[in-house]
Parts: sequence; structure tokens; C-alpha cells
Amino acid sequence: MITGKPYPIKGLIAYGTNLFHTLPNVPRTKEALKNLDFVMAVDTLPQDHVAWADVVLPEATYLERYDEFAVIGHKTPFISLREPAVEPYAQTKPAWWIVRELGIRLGLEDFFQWKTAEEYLNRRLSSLGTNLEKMRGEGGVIVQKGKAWLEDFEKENSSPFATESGKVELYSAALEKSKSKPLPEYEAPTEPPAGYFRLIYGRSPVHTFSRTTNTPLLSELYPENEVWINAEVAAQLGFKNGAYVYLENQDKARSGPIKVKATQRIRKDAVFMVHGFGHDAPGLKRANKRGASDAALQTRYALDPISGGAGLRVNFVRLVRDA
Amino acid sequence: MTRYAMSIDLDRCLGCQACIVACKTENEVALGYFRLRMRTTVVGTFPNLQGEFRMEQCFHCENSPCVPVCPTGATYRTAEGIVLVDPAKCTGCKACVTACPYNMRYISPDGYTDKCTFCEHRVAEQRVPACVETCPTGARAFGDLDNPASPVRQAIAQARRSEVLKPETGARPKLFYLNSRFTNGDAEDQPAMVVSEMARIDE
Repeated sequence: MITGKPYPIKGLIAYGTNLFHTLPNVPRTKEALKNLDFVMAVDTLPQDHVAWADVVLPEATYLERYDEFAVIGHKTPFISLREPAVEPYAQTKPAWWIVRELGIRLGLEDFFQWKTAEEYLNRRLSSLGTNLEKMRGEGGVIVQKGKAWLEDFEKENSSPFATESGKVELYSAALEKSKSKPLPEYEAPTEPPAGYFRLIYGRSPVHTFSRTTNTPLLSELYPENEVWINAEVAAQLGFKNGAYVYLENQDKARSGPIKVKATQRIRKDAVFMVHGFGHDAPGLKRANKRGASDAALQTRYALDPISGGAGLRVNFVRLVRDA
Repeated sequence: MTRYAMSIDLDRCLGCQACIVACKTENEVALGYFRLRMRTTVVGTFPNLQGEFRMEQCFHCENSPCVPVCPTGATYRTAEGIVLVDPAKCTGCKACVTACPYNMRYISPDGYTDKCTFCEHRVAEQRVPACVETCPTGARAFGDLDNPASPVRQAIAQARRSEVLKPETGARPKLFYLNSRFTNGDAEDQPAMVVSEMARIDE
């Protein structure tokens, strides 16, 4: 989106994903959005990135809509139903309706051989010889018989593991063939510079990602995040419990004010904060400007050379008293 | 005779606070007010730490200090041992709030005393309180203390430790904390920071 390579991208649809909290390096995300001709946001909340969209399609919440089945392939596989408990609020629409209407307007009606979510879901259930009515009668869940144990696979002379050896491989032959390290090798992480702490992040049990911090019942339990710092280090540096500070990272990215939590529950060379706070979205009345955003401080990230997974705990911050 | 009681296995409590939310939605408790609260205790120096979450709510004491002090008879104990407040009789004088040795009562925005009711409206329908039903780890048990087969008696029987808070008050609380890592009183010695009025007390 920034370089136009290998091919230019001109439009983006953000569906239920807060682009400025899900992704690190917020300034780069904003730069990429500026290069687009068209941005559309489908969301249940006026999240931070929604203000950047040319078109906003407000979605009904999970209690107001049908969704695609959740098909869970764990040891006991099951299919579960989500169905509306109440009518959608105001002009909000379920995602299936939004997608179908857009499809029809784009001349893709052949792909939508159904008119309602019930019709679509019933057609899917027909392959199992059942229907929505029966599924509701069973409590909205269809539990299937799974292969719970390794012995279940062994009886069929098969393996649940998609490896050449059919086993859990500590030493991966496939990785060796592709000229990657067959065994992970320890590489020491870069140490924080003097006066800085490694920024680590995690969850509060009452919140889910960045999307519940505006929910009244959850906001009152955990209204803003705190920066956890080792109690002895905080005492040495003169930071008091409950005082507001700013966090500044190695690239001079600065957070909004965040409360200090001096605690024994963290090592001395790191600070911790709960993810999902520090919204810049006036429509989120409870969450707006509450606490600080970890994503805004993650201007750097490391990519795993094999999986491509992004490691975000590679940023360093210092605590600053004044804005 | 039925004597309703509850137990919380502190070994199983994750501090997720789902019980607080379940209580609020079940009982339509106003925003900013709570019938349940969580106390977080951390003892030690990094990395040698011990910690515990303890949910606190009305203990439905057998010798309830809140009942005799009520000038209007609004606070009463049912035959099954549930301590309740009749909002129609309560004047909001706070005598019971002061008398409760555990600080479990507050004045609701409507002007009367409010607190945990053991969800007596659910119990009357042979259902367990909302906090018990919602607990994802099954840390809570509820039932008749006089029935050895009740879930609460079973939980107490299987626990390594069972205790009530501050037994020296003589109030005879009926909420039993099981398998606590700390001796009774340790948690109270921790410097407490009240984050919101009732809901959270941090280390």
C-alpha cells in the first residue's frame, strides 16, 4: 500500500478490526491509508480507524444478527449457532445482509443464491440431514464425534500430525530441506538501552482485545490501563503509585498519560501494560483518551523468519513526567 | 432446617470478575455500584511471590450484626438464613452499613441499603445464585449447610482448608473461603488501594 509493489492496492475494507490497535506502528498504518483511493469500514462501534473511512457501514451487534456457523474441530468437534436475540438497533445491519446487498449491486448475484440468513444456514445444515429448527431444539449446538486421543488415529493407522514422520517433530526434516534451522537456536534478545525498559503487554481478564473498553459494565471494572513497573525501580526513580506519566519509546513515539502501578509482580528491566486502551475516537465516550496505547509505542517489530509471525515485544520505553 | 451458605475455592479463582458482571446484570445493580468486590493480595518480593484473588460479598451471617441495629425492621433474616433488606421499609439511615464488620453494605442511588441477596429470587426457583452459575472454573458452591450432600458441604469437606473471615466478630459468616494460601488476616494486612468504591481492592 505504501510502495505499490508488487502491485498497487487502491482500496481497503476494514471489517470489525481496529486498524490502529490491531497492528503495530500506527504512523505507518496511517501513511498506508493515505495512499488509498477508497476505505470502507464495517463495524459495531465508532472505533479509531472508522473516522478514516470514506464509507461507514454500521453493523448490528452479535446479539442482533445471524452469523456464519462456528465450526470447531477440536477433540470434540461441534457446530454452534449464533442467532439474534433482539432486533438490530436503528439502521444497523448484519454482515450477511451487507455482503449480499453489495454483491447484488456489483452484479455478483449468482454468488448469492439465497435471500435470508436462515435460508443460507439451512442449506448448509442440509448436508448433515438437519435444519435450524432441529438445531435450536438441541440448544443451538451440534456436537459431533471426534477422535479424542492418539489411539483413535492409530486404530485407523493414521496420524493427527501432518509431518513426514507422523510424529511431533522437535527436529524438523521439512525445515531442514527448506534450508531453515531444523531446531530453534536461542538468540539473545537486544537489551534495553540505559534508562529504558522493555515494553511488554497483555490482557486484563475483563477485556477482549481493544473492543470492550467502551462497554459500560466492563469499563467500570477496568476503566484504564496502568504501566506496571517494579516497585523498587519505581521508588528509585521517584515514581509514585497512581501518578500519571507518559511513555516514550526508542523512536520518540510518545503515549498519552498513563497511571503508574508500582508492583512486585514484574521484573526490573521491563514495564507492562494491558492492551486495548488509549483510544483516539471521540465516539467511544467511555474509552476515548483513557489510558495509553501499546500499539502506538510499537514502532518496531521483529518477524519470525520461518512463520512470519510478528514479535512486538522488541520496543523500549522510558517514563516521562511531563507532556 | 435449611441454612443457605456459599463457598469459594481460592485455589480455583482466576480473578476474572465474571461473577461481578453476572451479579450486576442479574440484579440490575446501577452503574458505579457493586454487590461483589475483589481483593487482590500479593506477598513477597519479585520473583518469590505468592498471590491470591478473593471475592467478597455479604456473608449472610447467622448472628448478623446488621439485623438488630435496623430501627425499622427493614433488614431481616429469612427462615433459610438469607439476610435481606426490604427497600420499602429502609430509610437509608446507614446503621447497618456501620454495623457490618465486613463493610459489605452500601446505599443504592435509590436511597436504600443494598447488598448481595444470595439471589434469593433464583434460590426460590431451585436455581443457584448468578455468581455461582457463571463461574468458569467452578470455584463457587452453594447450598444447604445442614445437608451433608449439598454442593457447599461437599466442597468444604473436600477442601484442605476452610475458614470464614474474622471469626472473632462473632457474626458467624456463612461464606466459606477454601484452600487459602494465607492465614486469616494476612490479606487484610496488605496495603489496600480502593480503585472503585466497592469493586476492586488491589495490592
